[in-house]
Amino acid sequence: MLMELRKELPEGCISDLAFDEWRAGELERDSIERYEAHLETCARCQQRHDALEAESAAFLEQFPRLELRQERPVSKVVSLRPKRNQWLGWASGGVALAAAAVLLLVLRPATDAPRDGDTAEQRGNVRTKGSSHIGFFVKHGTEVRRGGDEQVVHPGDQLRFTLTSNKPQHVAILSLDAARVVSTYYPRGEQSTSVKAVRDQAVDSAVLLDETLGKEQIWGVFCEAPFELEPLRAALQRQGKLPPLPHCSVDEVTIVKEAMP
Amino acid sequence: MAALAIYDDNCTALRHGFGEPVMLDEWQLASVYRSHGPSVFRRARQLLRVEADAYEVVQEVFLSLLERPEQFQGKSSVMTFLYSATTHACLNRMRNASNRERLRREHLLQPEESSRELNAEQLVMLDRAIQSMPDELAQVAIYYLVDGLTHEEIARIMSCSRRHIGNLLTRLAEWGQKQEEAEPC
Repeated sequence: MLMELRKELPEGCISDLAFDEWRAGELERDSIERYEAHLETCARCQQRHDALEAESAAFLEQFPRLELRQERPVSKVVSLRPKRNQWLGWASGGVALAAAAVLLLVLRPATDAPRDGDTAEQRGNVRTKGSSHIGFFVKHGTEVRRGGDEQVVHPGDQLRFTLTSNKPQHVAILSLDAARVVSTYYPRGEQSTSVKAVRDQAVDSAVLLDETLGKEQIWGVFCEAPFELEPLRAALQRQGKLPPLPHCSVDEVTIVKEAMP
Repeated sequence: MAALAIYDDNCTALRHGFGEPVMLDEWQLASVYRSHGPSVFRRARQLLRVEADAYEVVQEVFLSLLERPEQFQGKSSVMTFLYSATTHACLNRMRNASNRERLRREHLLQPEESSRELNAEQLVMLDRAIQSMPDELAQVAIYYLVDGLTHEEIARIMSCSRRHIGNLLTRLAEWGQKQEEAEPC
């Protein structure tokens, strides 16, 4: 009796899950084409499609935006001066809405202009140029904010890197922490990944910071050709710095990991 | 959309075993809300049959995603993740509901809103069954009987193999059979 409650869909018909994934933009092109062709000939699915579209529109008209309950904390995106002790005063930094967060991204200086503090000189052992660089956001609890050089972070925080490149290049992000452990933060795998000319493009993963306290250096390596990551990791591990990289530019930032206050 | 097509019979181990945390910040969440929120709401309303409760589930699910982004590890699509999260949230509510609330829901039945076209009596029976069966069976009952999904689709949502879903449905059928046998004539 219980199992008889199921109403089987006719062969080839589109499930609600598939309709939902379609509307959410999660389907591959071939699935969309298959479903579009099916809709042309199936009255049931056409009707269901129209009903779900109408329901969706009605929902968004009634509840156009997510209104999280007021008693719960809501994450904010605030602009940070790239110095230490900026965790203090976040709460008084005001609420930066999503639109403001987007503005933060849009209003950065043009990529051809050097960033504040950037020079074409050697910084430490690494050549730093203004044209291609990495950035990052820090998620601490429920708050998200832009990070900068010498940014204070805490174990358990998440970092999400952004890439700015004025031309198509190959990129990787590596780090060396205070315990001299080398990590590849981006990409996953053994080789660099290609990136188009982009500005502040967020990478598709985040880094959950571990318990190791102290300074951690992070390098964004931008090269004209693909490169293997292992030699860079090995050099970092052995020498604490990157080897010379012809036809590459390197951006370096430092984070300072402190225990939770 | 990130998807990991490696399934195992042990759903729990897969769900928590690996994958990078995916961080959804507030403006991304706003975008996901518009593309996925209607589906969460529709399913929650279908299960709870009270619009206000359904919207609370929407808030609960999205707030949870904002506060604990590590829940979604990019192993499945966002939609299948939200199907699962909605199912869990609704099951919790159904089970925590007092008898009075349950009766209220039963009187709010609107079978015409269901894609499944179950009549009122069938919906009451399903509602009661789901509330009294083991959690894993309740989940699979919702996907199979209420949502009308295929084994493959349920497997994607529950991060299990299709074989495991088949086993769960066999257990579900047996559970239903036992309940019928235990019912007084």
